[in-house]
Amino acid sequence: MIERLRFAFAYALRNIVRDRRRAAFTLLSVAVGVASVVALRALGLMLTDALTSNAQAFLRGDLRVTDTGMDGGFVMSIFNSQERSHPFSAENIPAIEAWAAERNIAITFTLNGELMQVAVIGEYGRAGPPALTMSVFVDPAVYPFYDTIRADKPARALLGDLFTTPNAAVLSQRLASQIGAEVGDQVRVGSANVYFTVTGIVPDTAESSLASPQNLLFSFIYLNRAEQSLFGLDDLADRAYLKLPPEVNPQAVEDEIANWPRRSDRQRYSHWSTVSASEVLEENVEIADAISRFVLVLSLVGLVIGGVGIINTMVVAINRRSLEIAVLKTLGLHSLDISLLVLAEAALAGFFGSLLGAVLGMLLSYVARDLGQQAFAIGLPWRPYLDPILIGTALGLVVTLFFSLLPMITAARVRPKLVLREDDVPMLRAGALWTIISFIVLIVGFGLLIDLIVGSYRFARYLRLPPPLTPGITATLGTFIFLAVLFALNWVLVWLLSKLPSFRNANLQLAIRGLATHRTRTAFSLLALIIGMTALSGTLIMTRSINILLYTSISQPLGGNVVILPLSLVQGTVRSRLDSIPAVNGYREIRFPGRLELEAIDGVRDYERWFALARDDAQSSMRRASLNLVLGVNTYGNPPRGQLVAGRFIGPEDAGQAVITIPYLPELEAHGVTIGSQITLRIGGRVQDFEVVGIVAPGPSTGLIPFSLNDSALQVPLDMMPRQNIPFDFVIVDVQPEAVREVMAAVGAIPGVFIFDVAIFDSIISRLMNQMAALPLLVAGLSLFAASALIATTVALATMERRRQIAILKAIGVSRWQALGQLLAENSLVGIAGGVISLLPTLLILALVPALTEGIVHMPLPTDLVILMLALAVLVTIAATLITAWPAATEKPLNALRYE
Amino acid sequence: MAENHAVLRTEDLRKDFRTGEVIVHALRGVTMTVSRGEFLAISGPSGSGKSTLLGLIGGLDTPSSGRVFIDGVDITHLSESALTRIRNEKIGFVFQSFNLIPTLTALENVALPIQFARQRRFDPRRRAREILTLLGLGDRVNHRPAQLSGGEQQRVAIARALANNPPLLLADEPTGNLDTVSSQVVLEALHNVRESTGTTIIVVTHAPHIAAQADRRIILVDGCIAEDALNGAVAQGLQPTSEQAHP
Repeated sequence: MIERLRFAFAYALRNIVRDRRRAAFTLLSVAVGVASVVALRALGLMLTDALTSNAQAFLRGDLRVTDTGMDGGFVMSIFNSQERSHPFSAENIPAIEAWAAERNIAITFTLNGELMQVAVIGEYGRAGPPALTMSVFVDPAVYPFYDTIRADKPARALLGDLFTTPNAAVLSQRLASQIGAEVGDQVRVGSANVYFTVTGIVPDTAESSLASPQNLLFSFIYLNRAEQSLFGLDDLADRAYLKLPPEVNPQAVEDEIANWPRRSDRQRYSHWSTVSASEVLEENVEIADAISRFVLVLSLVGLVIGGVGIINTMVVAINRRSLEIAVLKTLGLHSLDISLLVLAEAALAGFFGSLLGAVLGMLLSYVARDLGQQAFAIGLPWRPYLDPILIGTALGLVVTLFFSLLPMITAARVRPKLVLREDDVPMLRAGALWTIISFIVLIVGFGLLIDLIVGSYRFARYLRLPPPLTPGITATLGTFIFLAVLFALNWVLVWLLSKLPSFRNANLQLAIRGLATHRTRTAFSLLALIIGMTALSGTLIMTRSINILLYTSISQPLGGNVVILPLSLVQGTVRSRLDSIPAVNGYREIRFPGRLELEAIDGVRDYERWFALARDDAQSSMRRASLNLVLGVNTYGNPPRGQLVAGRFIGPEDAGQAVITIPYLPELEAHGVTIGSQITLRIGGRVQDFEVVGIVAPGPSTGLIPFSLNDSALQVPLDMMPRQNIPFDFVIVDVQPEAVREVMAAVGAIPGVFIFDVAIFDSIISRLMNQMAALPLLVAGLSLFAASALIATTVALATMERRRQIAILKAIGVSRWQALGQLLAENSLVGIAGGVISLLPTLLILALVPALTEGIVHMPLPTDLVILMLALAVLVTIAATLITAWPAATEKPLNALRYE
Repeated sequence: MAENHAVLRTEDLRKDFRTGEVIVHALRGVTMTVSRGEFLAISGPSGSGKSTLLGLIGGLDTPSSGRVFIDGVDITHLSESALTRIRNEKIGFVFQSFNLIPTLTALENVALPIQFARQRRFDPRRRAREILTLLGLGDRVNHRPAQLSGGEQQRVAIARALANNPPLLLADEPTGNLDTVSSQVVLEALHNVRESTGTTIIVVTHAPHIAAQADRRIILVDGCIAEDALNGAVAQGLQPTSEQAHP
């Protein structure tokens, strides 16, 4: 047996060397799949390392103490900071510090939740456009207790070393890019009346968004806690970090923390919340494990596509060698011996392909790390991990063997009598029964692999699957059935393409005939292209569409592109500054009510029943809900407004008048509510009637929010709305887009003004969407990479088989470009078909959203991206064709004819 | 020649092929006996059924009806596994286009059938070297097929066919791809083999001069034996044993 094995491997190795090009395609098919496994597995390990290698570093202490409900909240510090009742203050910090000192526990406090406006101060003291950022007030001498924060600029400088001078600020990379700050620049921060000097720029991952979720939305700035008084935040803090001596039991300390002194105003409503390093570790191990398993399963997509490539290439190889196999059988080799030969070849291809894939995968893990950092907003340490290489190689080998089963059976079933029909060797087939058997083995094998990776035994009992089905086998079976249906549809499509008219164009005719010759193989290529492109275009288009939807949902209802929150003291200054800028089209001052109820319409108190008939109608419910939004508004200039149906808008001349404009609602019209009708509002404790002077129709779709500030709300003159909880009026400015920075700088320079560009929502949403899409994009990219390799393989095989045809064509005077053009035309047809089909699921989802949401949400279609995706599909096929078909097209015809 | 000395016997061998709606009768009832040590040439025009007959004799294909006995064993109803064993131990094949495994050296090609024998009777490499030397290729053992001339390749193929010392060697147009000189060398090699090992040799050939060098000649026409005759002096002690078929 050993001798046979030795022979099998020697024979396989020589075949690989002999058939180098085809073997290269098999290796590539394996390598691409393995590369995706290695890259994603490495990502999983990086994440595990980052989250679990040092829980104390992750937590930045042995214990972190916050107040329930306070962690993650934030306020705008230029306004009344006392609004937010910080759990730590001068009232209890000294006592807590004394408690810690008694127990030899190191303690440091931070203030994380302050949203501030930061701008670079340029020449002549002019501030640049400001950006919103989260403050992180720390004691740089001790923070963080375990981790080390090092700056990008100056390179590798420690956080503590950047706070050696007063008024130092250390910016996150994102903030520095937003405001264009460099080390040494002066910046204005929040309400502080001194400028700060940027002493360093740290990576965005210095403050993990897993620990501080607000960092998902905003950039951050490190400031010295000793300088909090500059912001009117003396001694306030919202987090405490504890470093315990080794002999102290964290649990005992946690018990004691429950009795920490509280601020007198927070006795009743909250209690201390502690997180220990071990809890963090436990939680992070679970998170890392779940993500690692998830990404590993995702990477199997690449292996499946690679597997199709393996079947494809090996079946062709066996067909090419059918005569040789028949000869071996006439020499007395059993079917099992032949199987062993194929198996040995597959094993070698699997092994070498896996090694190649491992190297590729380690390189890809670099890219994966960047996307992973983006997805999880956490610094990921890269190193050459051994585990992914071993797992990738093992998986590559196992999957190659699974997928070589069908070629193996095909080879084993070669009839020896073929040797007598040398000139007429038919296409080899495994037979229906063996094909089914090999697919069953493939599905069970793959399914069990998934079970093993996911650990699905943990939830198998909830699914109540009949044996022998396991979750992995069921999922694989479902996927394969789906793929089989898709494959069948592709086959039909290729068949239809092969019936396209050629318009007497010889190239097109040959291209179409070429498609018809290998329908099955072309359908496989198409399938792979569709999987890769669907994943990629789906992720990109959906992300972009949601992005546009969310942005328009926020920006359009606002009715402007700059939002200003001025202290009431400077409201007049802001107005005059805005009036002086010609690029300002107009603006609105808006006052939100505190407690306000719509009491009656034309004396009717149960006006809600007007909407009752259509209670199940989401649109109607939304219309009814829009009556609950009542605003005090002062409009200046000519900002965007809704369409006036009747009456007039409210203007400055209405100050002090009890007048109101209402949105146009069919239910109100049906009940005779019109100009002159009375709307009764209860504002605070006071009831007042308002006369309807205008009816405004809602503008075009505003995305997720079915009303907007400029047309769908009930609006009364600003001064008729008493100022309640919010100590300022919002100013929403409509500025010509090119002048936004000018307005930001001009108005932002007024002390006590908080200003932001609505585009901030766009960037926040974009960032969130990018974070969510990073991982799917990585997998989609890898799938497309695998699909490209498969297409290249298919084209190369087709080219190799048509080498003689190409040579004959060239012999009769066809140029190399025409020969190449024929292959390009053939594969472009596949590319276009693949591109169109891969877009269909995404377009279908976009089209179905309005129906599913009763017309409330209309997903925008990013046409440019759709066209780009279509072009990409064609480009992928053209590139794969060019790379593989070029040598054949340029070969001397005599060589090919002699060779064949 | 006595029946019990027959290494090959066929009884009313028929083979039909269906091509679409047309049934082609490739063999229409061939009955013949070949004695041990005999050198038989089967010739006939293209499409006469020569290769089909060779395939059935070699157990590469199954007849539509009739029987084939190799060394007294009816092989027509054997399992694939048993047939494989018969091919490995009882029959050697030589093909027109040599069909050597291109990745293996001459020695490795010849050793192959021994390595895959269920019951190994020879040391593969020693036996391969012996036969190659016998066929005048002692200095070419480590060459790959691509490094050998056509005649040399065909002699390697003959050596491979003889590796397990089979009683029957079947050659399908063994000189069809060779020039005259190489053809003569191969023919001499076959004669040497027959003389030194007593192997029965059946050669399918178009070439009259090759048929003339055999002990006996069968001419097939339209799937039937049209002529079965001994060739002059070399045919001493032999007599034709085929029966005319009746379509």
